[in-house]
Amino acid sequence: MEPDNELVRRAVAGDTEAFTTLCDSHRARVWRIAASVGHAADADDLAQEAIIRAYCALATYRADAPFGAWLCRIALNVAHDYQRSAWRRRIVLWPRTALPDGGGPAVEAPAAAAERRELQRRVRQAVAALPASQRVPLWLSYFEGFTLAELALLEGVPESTLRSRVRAGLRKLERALADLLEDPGEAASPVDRGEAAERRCRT
Amino acid sequence: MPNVTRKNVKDVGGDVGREPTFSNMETLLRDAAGYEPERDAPAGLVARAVARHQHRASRFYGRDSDARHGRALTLCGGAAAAAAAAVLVVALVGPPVRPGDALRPVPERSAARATRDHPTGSAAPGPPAVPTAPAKTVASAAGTGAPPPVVGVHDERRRVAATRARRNSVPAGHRLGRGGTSAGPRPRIGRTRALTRRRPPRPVPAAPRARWEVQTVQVESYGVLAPVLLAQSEESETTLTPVVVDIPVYADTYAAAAGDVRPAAAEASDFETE
Repeated sequence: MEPDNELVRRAVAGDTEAFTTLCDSHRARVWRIAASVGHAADADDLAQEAIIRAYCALATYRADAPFGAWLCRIALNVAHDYQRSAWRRRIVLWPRTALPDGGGPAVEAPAAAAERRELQRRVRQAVAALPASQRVPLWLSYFEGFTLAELALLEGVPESTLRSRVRAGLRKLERALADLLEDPGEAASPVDRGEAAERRCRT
Repeated sequence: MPNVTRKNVKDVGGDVGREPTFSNMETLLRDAAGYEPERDAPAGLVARAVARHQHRASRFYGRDSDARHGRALTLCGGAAAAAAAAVLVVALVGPPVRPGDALRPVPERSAARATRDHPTGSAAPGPPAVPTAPAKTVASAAGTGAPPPVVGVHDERRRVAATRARRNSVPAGHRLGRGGTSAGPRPRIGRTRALTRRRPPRPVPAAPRARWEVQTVQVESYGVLAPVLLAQSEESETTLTPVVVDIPVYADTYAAAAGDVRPAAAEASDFETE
């Protein structure tokens, strides 16, 4: 925290190098958020946009909350805006996955990994689509490992309030990801879940 | 990890039957927490973002004064060019049609002008002028006043046409149309009312007013009867001045010529009113 505070103080004073150093230490978090909702070049743009927004809003940062959480919240807002954008609603980009070039267990592993990653992306996108009051505590607590006490400092609300928001977010996620939660026993098999969803569409 | 447990769900009155769903949800979230992107974050991500922001700032805020001046000049130039083009188009299309142009009798006016300007008949051939009634020449009793103005038939037609055109022109606020359109606001009065409504009369230049009486008087000195006019001007309301306005019809020899005026003092001796 101390180095971050010192870097933040210098960055607020206008030191671009300090801001670059500060953001570089949290680059992986910002990148994961951006890559969760956007593919390839979109992720790069989203991450850059988040850093630019943070740079412009640096004067509003309160030093009592972790800088990483503050930066992640900005990145989450950028991801949310991207998901709601008209371009995103009209254009659907399908990820380029490795095609299996033969049968056997050796080539099933990359395909399963890609499917698992897509499942994780879908869950993350569902969280990113939540309202801001539920999105930030859910994401930062489950995915980034911040405690509710730290998030309470960031949001300026009591922990109990954050807990209520987390539960409300979980209920919304239930409805959004109902197809994944329908059969808990099959939760580990994305392929089977896809077949189940296809059966539901037929009926 | 967040402190979301079954106990918390029960504390807020959560549905016990939904607790397993929450646990499944948490399982999904924990699984999603291990998400690793296809590729790592680019090394120069932050530096590129900062450079991009500085480029934006320099583009929109830094050297903007010159750009603003350039934009202002461009806008002014464009507006001036558009105005000049509009004026040119109007000038090329033709002069604006004045109300009443179509009603004005152009050939007759030309003939009238030719007759007036060239009374000897040197005007270009055209429709013959409408014969006019002989103008009556009236002299005042004192012999010094000018006769009343004689209005020609062409002037009268022009005046009537102008009056009709003025009456037909509809004011801008009363353009015809259904409701508020580009042609103007909705007319407050109907078409017929707009076209036929009366306008306040224009002031007419005052003409010398006179009261006339036609009487037959006998010229005693010559023994003939001649119709004369007894004129009374506004200035002298009590005196009727006998004026010979035409040639005597009862005699071959004329006792008086048109415009001759008998003095008022000689009226009693020379004229005898019947």
